[in-house]
Amino acid sequence: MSHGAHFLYVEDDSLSREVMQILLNEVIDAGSVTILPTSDNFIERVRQLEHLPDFILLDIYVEPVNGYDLLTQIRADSDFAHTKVIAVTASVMSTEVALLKAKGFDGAIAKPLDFATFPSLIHRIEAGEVIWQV
Amino acid sequence: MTTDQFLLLLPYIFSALVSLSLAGYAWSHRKVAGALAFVWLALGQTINTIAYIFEVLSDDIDAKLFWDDVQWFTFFYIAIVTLIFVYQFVKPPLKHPSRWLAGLLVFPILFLVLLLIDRSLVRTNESLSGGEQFFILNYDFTVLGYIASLYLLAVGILAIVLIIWGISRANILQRRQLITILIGISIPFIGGLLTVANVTLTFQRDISPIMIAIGNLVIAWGLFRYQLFEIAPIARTTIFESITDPVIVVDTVDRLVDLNPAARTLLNQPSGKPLLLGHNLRESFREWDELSLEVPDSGQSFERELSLNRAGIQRTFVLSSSPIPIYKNIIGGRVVWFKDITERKHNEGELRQRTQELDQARQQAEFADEQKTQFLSVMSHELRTPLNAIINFNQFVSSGLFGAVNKKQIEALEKSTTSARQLLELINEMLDLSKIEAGHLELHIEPVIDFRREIEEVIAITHSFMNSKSVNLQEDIAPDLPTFEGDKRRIRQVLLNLLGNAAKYTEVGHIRLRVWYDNATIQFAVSDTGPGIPLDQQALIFEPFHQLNRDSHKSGSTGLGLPISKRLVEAHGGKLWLESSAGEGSTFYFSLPVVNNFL
Repeated sequence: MSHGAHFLYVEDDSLSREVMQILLNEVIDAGSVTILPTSDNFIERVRQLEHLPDFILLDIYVEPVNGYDLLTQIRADSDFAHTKVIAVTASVMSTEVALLKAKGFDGAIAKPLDFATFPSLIHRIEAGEVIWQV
Repeated sequence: MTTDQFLLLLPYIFSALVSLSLAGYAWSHRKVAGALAFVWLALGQTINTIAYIFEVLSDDIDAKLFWDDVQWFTFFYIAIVTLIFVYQFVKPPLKHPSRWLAGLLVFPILFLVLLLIDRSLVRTNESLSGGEQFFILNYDFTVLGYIASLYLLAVGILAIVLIIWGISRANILQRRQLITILIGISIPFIGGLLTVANVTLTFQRDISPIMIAIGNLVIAWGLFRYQLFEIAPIARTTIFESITDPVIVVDTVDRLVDLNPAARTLLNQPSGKPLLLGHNLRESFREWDELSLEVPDSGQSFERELSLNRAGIQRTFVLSSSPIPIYKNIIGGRVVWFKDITERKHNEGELRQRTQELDQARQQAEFADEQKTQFLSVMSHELRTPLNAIINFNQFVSSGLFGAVNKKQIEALEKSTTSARQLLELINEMLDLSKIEAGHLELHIEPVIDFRREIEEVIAITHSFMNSKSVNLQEDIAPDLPTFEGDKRRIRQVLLNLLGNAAKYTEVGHIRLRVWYDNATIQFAVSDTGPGIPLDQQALIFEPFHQLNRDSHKSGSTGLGLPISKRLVEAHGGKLWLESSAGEGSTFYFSLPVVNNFL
């Protein structure tokens, strides 16, 4: 269950960060929520966390390293072998979705996030399903 | 020769004259194929008839036998020339016609040589008997004589068979002419047969010379009636004269041979002025250089483009010089044709310009489409981030996360959320339509394994649209739906659009979704008890923006959903249609092939 799971979210838009914070804390009841506004020194900073994340949610257009490259770094690190990496994106062009799939994300969720369906999406991804809710 | 004798011989004299005149006429038209053979044929027949007249007139047996010999000569001659005449008309596909001719000539030559050596080889029991006006030569055929008769018969039959073969292959005009010639040739042939069978005129005279003349008249009638001999040269002249392009014929040393009226104008030779035929063009016409009539090799075909000022107007010509072969490889001169290509050049230029303009317009339109899609795509992306905040904060508040809210506040927040979603839907639909129209719509076809779950989600979302309406949403989904090929996201979009519309327009009653498998397709039907769609609106609702000038403000819809859905289903190789009448509710159907051969 996602109750008590540890989440990490990278997002440059402050309102989006705030929405996610509330969704994860209040609606999903996450074990811990870490939110980074930039992807600076990403791997290093994640290692310093008290709990390694069960879920990493990535905005694609983050600075200085974009979401695709962050995924590559995560996948290259055995510490994150069991971590689900999900793209949270405002880009729903079919070409971009195809790229997300090709890069190996465990799923993608489109903005705007839906208060009603978001918890079940996370739950399904945790259960091993690959979700492309875009 | 007495008057009585003359009167009796008159038909023969007349026959000879007819054949001779026909020979003369054909001689003057001898350039045309077949005519020369006819000349020789008619001449042979004339001699044959004259020989006959002399034979009749002679009163001693040696003279009579001499003229009879001449007739034998001419019979063979006529038979062979008839065959040649017919051959030239019907042109059978013989590889070596001269060998055939040589073969045919073997027997006649042999026969005639034998005849010259010893008359008795051909005839026996020669005697003279007295008639009323003439002495009559009587004799019997030897075996050789009978063979000679059979030979003549065979050649005659061969000629007739050839003509019949020609008739079977000819076109209508040629066929009528050939039939006439067939009749003309058959008449002397029949005459010959009658003579051999001893059928004679009342005064014991041969029937065949008269038959020959009648036959010739029929042949000539056939030739002149259809006038093929005459039409060809006249037609050629007419064509030459009426060509609007100047055409000049010169010989090998550039002396003027012929020119048409257009060429007279070009060479400043008014039509009243006598032609300077035979004059050297190079020396006599100052136009020589201007027209650049000089060619590198008058024995070779040659073309060059030149520009000439005619009556103050600049025109473009192609000067085309072609050699005229007179006999085998001998060149007699050349035809110089000035093809006026001014119009063509002009049209080509116009066409090129039009094509360029169209091409440019198309590129601009494509670029504009591209830009539009790009712009809408950016808009969609940029709108999603603020809408994410609006919708979610609305929902956080209305769900009581931030403290107690009353019913009125919840309703207000729900309206705000719905409006925000509509804004997103609008931009998404415009983006979809733009992509469809620019041909950029990409479907991600893959096996759709568990579509039932997608359907359940769409139904859950539809429920949320219906809010507090007293409408019953029913579902009837076949339990055994097979896996099918399609773009799951797009099919879901179509289903959501149809159910969303039903929810939007139905105030009381029920909405029913049926999904079943039939005939290698997945079938969907969305029925409602809404106001229904009048027949005259049914085609229009699939046209983009049809609602904009009507009640879009009332329905809160762009009217783009249905046109997009229809196109999405069609892009899958499926069909989308509706059954509805005003006041009776609507049912929208769509079907998707299980195996997608379409893409």
